[in-house]
Amino acid sequence: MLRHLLLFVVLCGFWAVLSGQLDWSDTHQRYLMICGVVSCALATLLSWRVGFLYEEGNVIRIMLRQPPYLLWLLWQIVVSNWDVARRVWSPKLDVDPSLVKAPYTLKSELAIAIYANSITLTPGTVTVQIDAERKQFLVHQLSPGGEAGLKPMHDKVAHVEGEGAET
Amino acid sequence: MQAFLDVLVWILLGLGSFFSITAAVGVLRFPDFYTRLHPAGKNDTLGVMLFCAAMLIECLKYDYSYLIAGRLVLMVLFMLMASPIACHAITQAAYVDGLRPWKKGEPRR
Repeated sequence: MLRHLLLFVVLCGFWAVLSGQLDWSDTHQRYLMICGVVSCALATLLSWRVGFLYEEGNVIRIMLRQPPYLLWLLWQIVVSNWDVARRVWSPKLDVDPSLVKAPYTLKSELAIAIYANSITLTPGTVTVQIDAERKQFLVHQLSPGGEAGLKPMHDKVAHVEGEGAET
Repeated sequence: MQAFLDVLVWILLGLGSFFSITAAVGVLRFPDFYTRLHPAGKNDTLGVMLFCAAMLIECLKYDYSYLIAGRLVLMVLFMLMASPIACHAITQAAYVDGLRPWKKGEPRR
C-alpha cells in the first residue's frame, strides 16, 4: 500500500514539474491539474492491477540511503570519464581489453540493476551480460585490473539495499 | 558574485564540450565495437550532466525559474539511468550475436 501511495505522489510531482500549470484560479490550468491527478491515479491503479510494482526491499531505507550512494557514484563517473578521456587522447592508444566475470550476491532485482548500471558508469568497465543462474556478470574492461573496483561497489549497493554485505 | 557565476557557467560548458568531443573521438579511435562503447556510454553522460549543471546555474541566476531547473534535474536523472542501460543492451546484443572482443596486438576493426 505504501508503495502505491509513494508511486502516486511521485507521479503527481512529475506531472507538476513537467506541466508547470499550477494556478488553481485559472479554469484551463485547473482542468489540466485535475487531468493530471486522474491520470496519476489511473496509472497507479493499472500498475497495481498488473502487479508491476516492485515488492522486494524496504523502499524507505533505499530512499534514505540512495543520496550518499548517488554522490559517490557521481564522483566515480568523473574519475571514469577522466580515465577514458586520457586513453582516448593518448597518442599510442593505451587499451588492453578483456572480459572478466564478476560474481554478485545481491538478491533483489533493483539492486542487481543498480549494480549493473554502476559498473557501466565507473572506470574502464561495461556490463556485457547478466547470468542470473550462476549469479555473475560478464564485464568488459578497458585495461587489466579494472575489476578491483567492483567489490567495494558491490558492498555499497548491498548496503543501499539493506542486504548483508558479509556474504 | 554575478561574474563568478558567469565564469563557472563557462567552465562547465567548456568541460561538457570537452567530454562530448572526447566521446566522439574515442568512438573513432578505439579498435573495436566493445571498446568504442566505453567512451560512448560514459563520456556522453558526463558531458550532458555538465551542460545541464551550467544551464541550471544560468536559469537560477537570472529569472529564478524553478520549474525549468526541476526539469533539468529530471533530465540528468533520466540520462543517468538511460545511458548505461542502452549501452548494456547494445553490448549484450553484440555478445549474444557472437562478436568476439578485440585483444591487444590484433589489427583494429
